[in-house]
Amino acid sequence: MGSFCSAALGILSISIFQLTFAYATTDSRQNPTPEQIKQVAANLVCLCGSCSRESLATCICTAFAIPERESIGRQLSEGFSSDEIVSNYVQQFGNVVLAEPPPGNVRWISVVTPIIVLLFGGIAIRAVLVQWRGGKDTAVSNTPQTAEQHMKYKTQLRQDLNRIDKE
Amino acid sequence: MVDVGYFALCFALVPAGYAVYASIIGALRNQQQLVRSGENAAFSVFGLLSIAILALWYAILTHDFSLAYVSENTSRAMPIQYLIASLWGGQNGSIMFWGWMISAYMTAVLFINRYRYRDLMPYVTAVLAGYSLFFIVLNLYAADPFVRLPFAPEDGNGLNPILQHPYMAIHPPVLYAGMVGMAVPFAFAIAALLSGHLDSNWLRAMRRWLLIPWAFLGAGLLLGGKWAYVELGWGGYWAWDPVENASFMPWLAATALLHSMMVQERKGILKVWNIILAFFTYGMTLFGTFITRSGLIESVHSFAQSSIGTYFVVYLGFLSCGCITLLVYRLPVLRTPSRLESFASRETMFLLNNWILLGMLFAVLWGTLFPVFSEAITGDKITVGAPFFNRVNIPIGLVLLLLTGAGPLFAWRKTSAEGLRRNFAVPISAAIISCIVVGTLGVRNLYAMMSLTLCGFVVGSVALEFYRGTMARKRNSGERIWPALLWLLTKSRRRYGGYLVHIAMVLLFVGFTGKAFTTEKEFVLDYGEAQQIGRYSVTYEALANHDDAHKFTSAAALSLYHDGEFLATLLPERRFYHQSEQNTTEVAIWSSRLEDFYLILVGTAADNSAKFQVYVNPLVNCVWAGGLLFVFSSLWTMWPTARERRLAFMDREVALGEADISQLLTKT
Repeated sequence: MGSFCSAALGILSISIFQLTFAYATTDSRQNPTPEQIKQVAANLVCLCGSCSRESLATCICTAFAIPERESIGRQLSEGFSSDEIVSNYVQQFGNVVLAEPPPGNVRWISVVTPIIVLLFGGIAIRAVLVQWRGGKDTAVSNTPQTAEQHMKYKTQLRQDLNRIDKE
Repeated sequence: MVDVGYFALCFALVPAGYAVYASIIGALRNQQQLVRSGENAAFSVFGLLSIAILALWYAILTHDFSLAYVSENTSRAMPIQYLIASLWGGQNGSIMFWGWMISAYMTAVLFINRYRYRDLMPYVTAVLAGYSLFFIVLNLYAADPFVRLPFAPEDGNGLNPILQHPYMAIHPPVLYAGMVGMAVPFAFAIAALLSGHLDSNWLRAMRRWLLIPWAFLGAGLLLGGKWAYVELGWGGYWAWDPVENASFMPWLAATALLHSMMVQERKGILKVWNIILAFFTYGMTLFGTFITRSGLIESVHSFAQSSIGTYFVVYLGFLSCGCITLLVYRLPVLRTPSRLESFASRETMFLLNNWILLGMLFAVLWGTLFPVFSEAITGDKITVGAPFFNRVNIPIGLVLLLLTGAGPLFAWRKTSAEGLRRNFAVPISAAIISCIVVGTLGVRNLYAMMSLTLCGFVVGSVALEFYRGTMARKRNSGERIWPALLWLLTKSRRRYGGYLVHIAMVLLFVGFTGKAFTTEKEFVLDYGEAQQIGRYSVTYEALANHDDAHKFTSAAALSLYHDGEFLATLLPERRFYHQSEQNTTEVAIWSSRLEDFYLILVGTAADNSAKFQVYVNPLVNCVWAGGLLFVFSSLWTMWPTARERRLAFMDREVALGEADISQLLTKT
């Protein structure tokens, strides 16, 4: 009984597998062109859960991408515009189906934030460089020594060397 | 055997805890014997975790399905290589493998430095043993791979079919080796702060331990890309998936550290910055692990949701507080007066390099976490996909490429206007030639033109460096050109190995740029029908279906022609795995030096007609060639020079009291 069930399940799953592709195959010969379909699908991502949210234009998973591309094709042939199709998907699945945040503030923020951070980083780097350029090096000073300082240094050096000799 | 493994895992807690305690107390009281006993405890952690790993492998290979892990991740039908790989294929096993890898790194670091950097090593032991301890606790309390089922099923669920691929068998361990290894530079940074030895010694001690995981991480990312390319069947190798990003971010931070540490070694500046980067790099690996395994971000690569996220949050919180406190405490010592002689200097270029690398890191981090932020703020989960990442990162990447070429043309401290003119002449000429060639070939995409032009610039810059070095050797030693070049590479591994890495980056960028010229076509064919794709054409010859206990396979046979000349018979497949009820694709790729013809069997119909998708991917092989060169040049750079080996020998002899230091110095 168990083996019969698994055989039946196997046949059923193969049939579904074949039917899915048969469906995909027959419709794709009709208008609109695959390029038009992919242009719309590029705004969306695959939600099959087994791919890494591929673009719906390129994903080939049978669970979501292929049937949905066919669906986009049908909607295009029914006269829906690209924007209408995308908004249909957003209504059905939420914003999570979009390849990019929806047009408006959120998309603007998403793109501008890294640029702002990069600019602030640049300003910080510039400030650091300017500070270093004007800073003093403790190891090597470029300030010219006065004659008095030079004599003081030489005297101290001679005293230290004499002390070391005595030790 | 399984019980032995479990007990070994339990017992490993004790030496791991003791290693932390003994190392810190030994260092504080300056008791070398206690420090050594801490190190021995650390070695025993490695031994015990190795027993645990072997026990789990034994259970997997003997199909002990009474273990939940074995039952969930393996099956009798799996070939032996994937049975071995299933150790890291599931959550709990991979956590244990991760912990074992930490202990392996710890053992290697302690063994290699048993006579060197003795002021730092106790703290390094403590940090690494603490990290090991954390993973042992995770295994015992949140991700136990030795949990038994109340009954033993006859067969297991098997590994995810898309993971049953040779690249996927080696990609995770290579990536783990990169992620785990970043703990070593972090441990040296903490050791420097705790010991108060804040000169550049800790950088010298950890340089190679940064290069090793950096190379592993880079190789792991490329292996993952190769797997995605040949297995996932969408014609690409990088999808900006959160888990890919999670591995890419620590690599970017480590690259920044690799460059900025040179400034500290040369000029004694950027001390605070290098410590922060070491913290940040390690933090990024933990963050990546956290998002992969906690379910915070959805991804195809993610493991099942579990409670380990809480443990990670606690650990990350503890580490962050500890690191910040330590850094603030040592800040007065770390802050050194810095002076820049000229803006036109190598130091400036390294700072700009760090700025761009971290800018890219932020952009990737921002995009990865955007769904979390958007959900927290607006209540609506909004994701950003490849278009966002490409829009932001392509310009940043181009600036990075420019800096890769320009950096070596600046001298340390100051570069005169005359020097700049002399140094830039060749690279700029190379860039102009590239631009003309690219334009002549009909490339009109702005980013692609810029990328290929900059690639020419970098090649010109590196070639100039090699030419000058070789000529200098030739003049000084009278060697001929090729021996002089070889000796140049051998004697100055760090510098010229680094330039080879830059060439690897050029190859990678050329490969990435090729994506701009990809052509794609989707079509349906009946038996005997042909389809033209550019200069290629394919003819659909046959279709075969095969069903076995494991999977149902549809395989199509197509003849591939280029300008009418027969090239190969391609056999793309689609598979349906019965047990997991999952479809997979096996793409057929015909590869030439310049491009790949990438054929996917999308589906078949009852009348044996079939739907195909084709990508012609120009220059994609540059990505793999760049990856190979990256690995080779990283190895070349990190390989110890004869002088370094002599210094290590000296340290050992002096530590053992077997030689007079003055005698050794004359030898060196």
